[in-house]
Amino acid sequence: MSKVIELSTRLLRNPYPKQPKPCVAQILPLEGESDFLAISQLPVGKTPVLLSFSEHYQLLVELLECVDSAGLEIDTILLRMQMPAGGRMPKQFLQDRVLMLQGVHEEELILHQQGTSYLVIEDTLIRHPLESGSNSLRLRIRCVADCNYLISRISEKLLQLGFDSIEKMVRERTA
Amino acid sequence: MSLYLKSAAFTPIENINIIRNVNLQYAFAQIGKIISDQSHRVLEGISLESKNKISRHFLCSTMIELPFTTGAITVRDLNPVEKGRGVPVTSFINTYECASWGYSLRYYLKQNPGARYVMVSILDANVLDLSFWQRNENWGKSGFGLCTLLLEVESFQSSDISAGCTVTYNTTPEFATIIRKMASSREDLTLSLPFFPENIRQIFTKLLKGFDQLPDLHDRWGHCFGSDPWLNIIQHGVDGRFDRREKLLACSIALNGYYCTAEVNIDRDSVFYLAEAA
Repeated sequence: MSKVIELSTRLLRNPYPKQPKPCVAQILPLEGESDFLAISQLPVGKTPVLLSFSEHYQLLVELLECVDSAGLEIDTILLRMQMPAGGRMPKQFLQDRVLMLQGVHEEELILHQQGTSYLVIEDTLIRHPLESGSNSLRLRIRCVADCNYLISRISEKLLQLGFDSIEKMVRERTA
Repeated sequence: MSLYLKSAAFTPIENINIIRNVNLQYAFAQIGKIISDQSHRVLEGISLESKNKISRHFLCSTMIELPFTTGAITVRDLNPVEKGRGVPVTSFINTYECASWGYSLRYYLKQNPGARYVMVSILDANVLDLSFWQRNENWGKSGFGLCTLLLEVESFQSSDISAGCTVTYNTTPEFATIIRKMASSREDLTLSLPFFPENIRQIFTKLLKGFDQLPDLHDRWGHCFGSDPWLNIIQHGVDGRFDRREKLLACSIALNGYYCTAEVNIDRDSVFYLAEAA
């Protein structure tokens, strides 16, 4: 039996309203009628775009910094990450304890069964009108040590970045 | 001792897209069947017990993203509804672009250095038939297909796999220099590099002059993204090159500067498949 703490919330506004935004976003170049027809067949949602690609990465880097400054040993970090990436990822995402995936559940289940400590950040923050998502963020942590300090630091950070009130759940899971 | 390439397969995918296959769900159902069949095929040479111990099937891609980001397709759609014969895909990874396979292997082998086998597939198929992916100035003509690798871990050292990112945005020359450093004083190593048209290939020709390397097959296959170094090995394996044990360094570089390498042993018992186009 082990404990997994989950924080669940939703982004309500741009996280960095006073920060200038560099115009560096790129979209796949479309040529000719068939390209436009193909794109028109893809679904679009109604969720507002509240942040850019670089702001999304900055937000995740700040959450990872909370983990580092809390001094906890976390073996593995999973990030749900959608493409197009819109440029080079921060170096924190390229460390060997981090894996970025389209969907985290299968991998998370395996980590849980292995009994390792892990942090999963599963967000659906959309950065482009073609992306699907609900601007939600779920963060799950399985840690051997007491992680209450980390949880309170992350919660504080999320509220400061414009997320809604945070729902906290503690789950006892059988490995 | 290091990693041994037990088996590898490549299936070109040229005719599966929304024009021919009506919709994305059907196109991915077709692709899911190819993934399942190909993983079954590369696993034929190992025991059922060993096969059952393979808990991960990483599926990597460079250019399949819009069907997932828009929510039209989910990772679940990559596995056939009726139980396939191979190992189901557990993880879809495209953020590291052409280097996704190396990042996946590094992640897995760090966690499981004692694992016997590890399997990775690389899928790039122009399901939306977009012009940019057919050909562009970054790599010339593209090639599409599915590649699956089964690696046997003989005795793993972390240096067998490297995954990193260039410091500059002048990525290909920097990547070639990294490879040059890795291959220096390694006369036993043959390089297997990404496929590029002549104007880009010159970077490798000039900066890696004097190093043993498999010939560039861009003229035959186009740029097949992360599959390139493996497709080159498969092509030479099918043609009967590996009649004695050789050490190959498979190398991939992505547009954003992510890169990866894998040092693998290959011999006459390594099994290669090169299928007809789907």
